Amino acid sequence: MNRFRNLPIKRKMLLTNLIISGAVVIAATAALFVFQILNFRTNFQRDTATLAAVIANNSTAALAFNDAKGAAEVVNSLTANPAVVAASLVRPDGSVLASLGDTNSASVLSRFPPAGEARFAGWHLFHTESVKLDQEKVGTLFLLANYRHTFMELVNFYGRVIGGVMLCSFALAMFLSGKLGRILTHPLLQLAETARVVGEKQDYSVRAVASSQGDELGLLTEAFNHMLGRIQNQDAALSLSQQKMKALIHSIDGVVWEWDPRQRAFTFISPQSERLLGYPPERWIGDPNFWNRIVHPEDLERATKAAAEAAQRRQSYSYEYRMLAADHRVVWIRESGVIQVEQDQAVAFRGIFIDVTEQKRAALELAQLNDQIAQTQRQAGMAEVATGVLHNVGNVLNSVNVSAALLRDSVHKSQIHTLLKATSLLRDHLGDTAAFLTQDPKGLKLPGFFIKLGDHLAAEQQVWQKELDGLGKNIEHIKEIVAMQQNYARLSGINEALEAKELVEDAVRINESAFSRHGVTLVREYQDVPRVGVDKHKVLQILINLLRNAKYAMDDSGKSEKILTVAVRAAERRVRIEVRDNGIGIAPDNLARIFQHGFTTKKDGHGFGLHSGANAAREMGGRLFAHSDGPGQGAVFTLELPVAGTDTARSKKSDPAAVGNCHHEI
Amino acid sequence: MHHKSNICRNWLVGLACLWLTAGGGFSAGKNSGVSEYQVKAAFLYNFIKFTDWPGRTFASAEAPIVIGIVGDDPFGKTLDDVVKDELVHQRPLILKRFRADEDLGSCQVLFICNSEKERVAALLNQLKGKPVLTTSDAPGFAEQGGMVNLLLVKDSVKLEINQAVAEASGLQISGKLLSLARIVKSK
Repeated sequence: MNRFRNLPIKRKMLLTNLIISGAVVIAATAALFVFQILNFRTNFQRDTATLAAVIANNSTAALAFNDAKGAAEVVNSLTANPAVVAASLVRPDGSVLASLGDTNSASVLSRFPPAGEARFAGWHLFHTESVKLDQEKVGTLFLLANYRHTFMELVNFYGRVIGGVMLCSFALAMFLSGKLGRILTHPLLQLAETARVVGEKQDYSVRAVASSQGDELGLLTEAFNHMLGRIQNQDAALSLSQQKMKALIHSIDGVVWEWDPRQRAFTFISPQSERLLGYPPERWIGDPNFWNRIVHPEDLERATKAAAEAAQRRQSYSYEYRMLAADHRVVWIRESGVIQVEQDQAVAFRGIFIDVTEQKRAALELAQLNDQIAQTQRQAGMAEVATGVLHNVGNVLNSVNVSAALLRDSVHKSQIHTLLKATSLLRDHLGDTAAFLTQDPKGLKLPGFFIKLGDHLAAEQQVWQKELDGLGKNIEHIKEIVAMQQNYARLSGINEALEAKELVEDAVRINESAFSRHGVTLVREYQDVPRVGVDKHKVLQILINLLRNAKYAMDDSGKSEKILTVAVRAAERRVRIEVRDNGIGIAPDNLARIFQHGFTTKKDGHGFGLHSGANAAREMGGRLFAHSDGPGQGAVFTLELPVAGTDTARSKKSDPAAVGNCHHEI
Repeated sequence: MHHKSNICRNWLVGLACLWLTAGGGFSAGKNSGVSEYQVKAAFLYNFIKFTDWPGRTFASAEAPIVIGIVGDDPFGKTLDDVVKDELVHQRPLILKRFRADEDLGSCQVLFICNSEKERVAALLNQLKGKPVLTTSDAPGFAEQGGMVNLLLVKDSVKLEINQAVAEASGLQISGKLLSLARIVKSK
């Protein structure tokens, strides 16, 4: 059956038609044949009966008039019928008037059925016909027929007919099949040919010719052409899109890849791979462990785990690791990819390798730089504090110096040497002390001298005591200052609940001597506020900086009255510390820039102060901002801090990435 | 329709035929079975079966066929026996005997006996054109214009038929009979 199906269409059609026509013919003739054969005997019997009737009819006269010659003539006419074996015309008394063949024997006669009937025996038919003249029986006709010959003739005939008809029908079918079939096959073959040409040459501009319209072939041809048109368009579009994609991939500064998780190998890698890592694409494709080999051994485990996790989560991912280039360079790679999932299975990874070595290095440098800056800032801050402290200590040391000088001077001027003179006098006169004292003019003066000296020395001692007390106090002061500095110099980072007032006072104290020296009047406006949750060190640094800035601003203003106000107030759920001065103020242009890194209006300033102050404030969950009505109008700096225990009171480590992104906070 | 009478008649005819084929003569001593005139009667009876009269001959469908015998009747009772209770063409048969001077046109079959040999021509003339089957057994009857002659030839009865006269009278004689008989033309 398959062989038949695979025949060319013309042959198939021909065979089909032949088979059909053959089948039809056979069926028809067979039906006819069968029918004829089935009815043969009946027909034969009927034919024989008819013959007998005719013969009988024609024999009436011969029998009626007993004409043997006439009867013989009639009977002999039966020889024309080859089926007739024997016949006889018999008179009513049983005697034979005429006969043909052998019916005389009693055995044969006895086998004939009664008149008007016929009986079959094998190939023979026995027919008995009464000869009636005007309804009166005048004799009997006995007819014996053998239908074998006729039957065989019939069979032969039909056989030949069937054969002949089949041959003719085959011939006709072949002819017609050829002619008419062409109507069907020609367009089909044309269509097939067109399809073949299209397939061979991949030429989609070819079109099939429609030789009919409206019928299925026409529709097929139309659809086929339609499809070709679409394919052509799609092909062009695809080609274009492919070109675009290639151009795109080439233009990407990264390696585009596709990876098959089942084969565990790359199925696509863009040519950039060679430029980036020195391995040509061929080496990547199909090698199951290529990736493992080029990943830096230290990062392999982490990278593999990250990949596995990404596969598990079936989400897009991105992670970084090092790869070894062909020339053994270490290259930092950021791998970003997506996972294609089908039926809950990861069937492909697609992504891009980007060389981030430079970024990494830059980031590292930046981090280092930031660390340095932070450190420098801290140091600067600490330096400021230290400077303050030193100022204060310096001031106190002045007093100490003065006291010490006074003491030295006093000691130097001390009457001790007079006493020594007097005692040496006594020593000289040790043997005759009593005489000396009562007789010597110098000796007589001695008691009075000693009394005066005692008073003098007592007075001296009081002065010295006072000075030493003062000295002690000053030294204590210095100790305090140094201790406070040491206290604050410890590394910070811990948030505590603190009284804002105390923080302000600490900062003021450090700058105290500078204020008094510069003639700054300090005004305090403290309200009752909740405790703040802050880093003590940071706050102190900020406040010290603000106070110094205010002092300098007022110095620069040249005003005689320098008023510095420190205030502590509550504002919503925060605490504000304000430092107000009536100095030179801030120009509107500079209001934004003062918080920038490196901005300073001071000759020897470093510009860290406000910038890092603002950062520090933000890190604590607060903010630092400034306001000025304009040049000459003074300025007020506000440090807003979170209340202790609220969400905003956080301790955050400084983020080096944040450095450089800060702007003023207004 | 096997009437008893039919069988009787058949046997009679059969016997007659048997006798004839046996080639037996007429002598009563030799064969006491069948006589010449028995055979002729049978022939006459059968003849009627093979003849058709024109439609206007009969008054009705049941009107009988009249067989007339003119002259000295040689049949005796034989013909009566043969035609008794018989139907030919569904018509009964009636036998009538006539004298020569009587009107013979009322019968359909007429047998002219030998006794009227001299008057044959006149009788035939009288019946010319009338649908009467003229029969006889005198030699030359057919040539004279008679329609059927029952001739005894060598111990068997042969038929002579003048078809032209029969046809002229409107009578149709079956071809089956004609083929057995000797066709004769009028002189």
